[in-house]
Amino acid sequence: MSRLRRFLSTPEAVAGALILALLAVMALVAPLLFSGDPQAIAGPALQPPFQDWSLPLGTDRLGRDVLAELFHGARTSLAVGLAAAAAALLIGAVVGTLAGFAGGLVDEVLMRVTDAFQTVPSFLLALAFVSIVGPSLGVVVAAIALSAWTGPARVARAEVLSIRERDYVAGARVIGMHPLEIAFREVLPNALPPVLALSSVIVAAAILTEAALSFLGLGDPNRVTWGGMIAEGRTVLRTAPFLSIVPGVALVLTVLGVYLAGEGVVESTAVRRSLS
Amino acid sequence: MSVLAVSSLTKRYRRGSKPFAAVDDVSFEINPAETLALAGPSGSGKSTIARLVLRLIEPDAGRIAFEGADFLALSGAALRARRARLQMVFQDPLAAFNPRATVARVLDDPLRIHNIATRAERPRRIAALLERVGLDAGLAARAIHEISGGQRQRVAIARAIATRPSLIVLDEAVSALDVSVRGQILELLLDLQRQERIAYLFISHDLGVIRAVAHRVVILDAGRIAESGDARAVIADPQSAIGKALVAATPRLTRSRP
Amino acid sequence: MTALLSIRDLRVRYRRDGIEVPALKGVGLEVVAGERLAIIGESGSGKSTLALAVAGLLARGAEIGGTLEWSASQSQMPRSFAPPSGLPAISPARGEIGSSADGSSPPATLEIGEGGDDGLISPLAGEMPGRAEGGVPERRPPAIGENQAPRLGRDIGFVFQDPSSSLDPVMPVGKQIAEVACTHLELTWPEAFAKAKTLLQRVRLPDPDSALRAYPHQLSGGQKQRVAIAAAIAAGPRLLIADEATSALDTIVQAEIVALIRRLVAEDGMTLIFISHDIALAASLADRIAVLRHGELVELGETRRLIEAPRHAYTRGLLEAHLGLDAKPLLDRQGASA
Repeated sequence: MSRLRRFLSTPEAVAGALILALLAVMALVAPLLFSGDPQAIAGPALQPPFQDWSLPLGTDRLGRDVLAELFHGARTSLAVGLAAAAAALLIGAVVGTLAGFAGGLVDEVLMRVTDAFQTVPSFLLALAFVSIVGPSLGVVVAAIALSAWTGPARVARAEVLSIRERDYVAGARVIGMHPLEIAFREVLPNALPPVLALSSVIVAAAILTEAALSFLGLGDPNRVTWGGMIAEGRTVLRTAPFLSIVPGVALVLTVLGVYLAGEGVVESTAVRRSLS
Repeated sequence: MSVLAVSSLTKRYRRGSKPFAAVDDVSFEINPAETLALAGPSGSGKSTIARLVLRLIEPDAGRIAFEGADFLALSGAALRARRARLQMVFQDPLAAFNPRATVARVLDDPLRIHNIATRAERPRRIAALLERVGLDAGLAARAIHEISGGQRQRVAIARAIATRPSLIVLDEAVSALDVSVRGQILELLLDLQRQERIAYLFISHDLGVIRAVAHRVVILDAGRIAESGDARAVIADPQSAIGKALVAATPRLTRSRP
Repeated sequence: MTALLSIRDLRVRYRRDGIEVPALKGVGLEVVAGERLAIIGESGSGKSTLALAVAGLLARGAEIGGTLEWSASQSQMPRSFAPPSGLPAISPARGEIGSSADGSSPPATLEIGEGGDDGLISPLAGEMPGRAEGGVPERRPPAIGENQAPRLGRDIGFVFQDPSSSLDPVMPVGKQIAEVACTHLELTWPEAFAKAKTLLQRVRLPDPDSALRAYPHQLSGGQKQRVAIAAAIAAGPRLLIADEATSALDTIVQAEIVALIRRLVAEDGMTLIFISHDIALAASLADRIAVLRHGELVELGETRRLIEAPRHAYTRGLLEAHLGLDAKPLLDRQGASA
């Protein structure tokens, strides 16, 4: 309760939360409001926005409803962003915990693998992965997670290294607890807060990466995505700039919203920690 | 037969580039239902010995026989199973528990790990353990950070006795407690020792406390045994330099006896 | 006997997650100039809160009420160094400290609001600084003359329990001590550094020359506490407060630090407030002992009287709970042994 109040006490956090709420509503009502296929032709091609109120944002090169595409695109962006970030955090936390807790050879091997992933530019990695396996929503999520798990892994490992020296970990060993149970039940939950603080940055990056992949034509072809919309509009950028601008603005607002809300959460928990 | 027999135990660390022995050729035995105290200034190796005996760290040399068997030969599941008989209570009762734990979970773990009680029986066993250490069974639902320091140390003792050990290592277990609480905890430990025949390895820097509860004392200095013997005799008339210094430094209440 | 400090009806409450926790519930006592006063109590007794309140170090959010009267008539010239006139004063008030020390100034009294209303939050409550010594910016009530309210570091030296966290880990200890001397005595940096060396000799740190350049992590716990004491007395305070200053140390080092404090207090004619949970340790050092319990003063008396004829049941309980080298072992009391 007081934590929520603290979160809402900064204007940035409120703005971020409002943007995210709006986005979530868009994603949720998309199938109700625009029940048909958003990729179906709805009217004449290249109709500018605010002309016909049955197509408020106009139509694209093929005559598809831009507003419907925008709403359905929000679904894709949110789904991919959240799923990829969750996967990256999960992989990172598990790898970091194992490396930090086991130490020795396990640590050495896992951290060198992490290094290898970190030295390859993450977008190239995602690009290569999707072009080999083929574009589908699951593959895009996996590709983004694959390039984003190293940060959480390093943070988790550093945290675990300090926690594993605490008395309560020794206490768990003394009562005969299995090392894996100690790692994942005693150590990991206490190592999570700083790892979770990375989540807003990872979600924002994941949404951008997904858009970039779609822009290059490597998104799921059966789904509307904002990146794909921008790519579509690119060919008619001079005659119909709104086709790129509308999804572009949506993308910027989304990333901003995720970031502001994430900062708000970190800020409110930081205050909490310094008080206790 | 002794519960614990430690011989020629040695543990070396590196300080900068030069190695030094934190524990240097230390040998002692503890008999059933006996309290052996380890005393000495900070850095004398007391806590290192505790951690070696519990296999939290591995010695560089020496032997540890626990209940007649080679304790250092055990590993993996066999070691974890054996740990039921050899427990520990830490100095800071808050740091000794997972900050997210509840009292019930802390006591549930040893019962579950060592198959001491079925899932259905455990709540009753937990209540019995709490009552055994003088706590209300209703405390089980509370979080560890909600209860007082003295209550926490009682929970720590309850956890240590849950697996019916023959030896408990008490590492400065009463040093962080208020004096009034300290007396009660010491009484509880002595009561448990008498009824369950538990042996204690009692680590403390406080000779007054050691004299009150220990049968024998080993005084350490820089990782080596300086002297050992009957606790009251050694404290009344220490022979080693460090023993004399410890006795001289202990604050005294000089008052005419009523 | 003149009072250096009169504490009257001191009340402190902390607000934690919206709940008010009283730490002191109206404590009154006088600290006599030149005495060694021990304040003892168990955890939650408010003994540390009392020390912090006197030093003006209470955390923000603490509400304090009551009176702290500091007797300015006792003030004196800086002990060993007169302020060099050619130097720009760091604060105009610092010069006045010396000039007002003519023995005639009236006592400085901090009237702190009455309980219950909004004005209760005292301007005395500054943020807790990370370091033990002076040079700490303090907030004082505007009603008090700059030259009269006691200043931490200059008039009050404070030694914390844990020297590892009260010393700056990335600054050589000589510099940390010199900083206090420099701030409060208006010395030039070389003079302050020379003073730091003298102080390290006075606290009997082996090899003061190399210790000046040492970092805290290169020193043992006892040596660090000696450095913290050197920094606390660097400006020649009249009052030294030691808050559980020996509790983190082993018995032998504790005895050495207590002996050091005793010697320094005697040599400089300082008044000592020694906060401890250990009644035997307090009795070995103090002229008078105050016993606190749950934020209230339970008993106050001359050490010998309090130890031999305690008037309050709680004091008797503390004495009985003490496990001295002459107490009857618990093993025997229970009538059983292995």
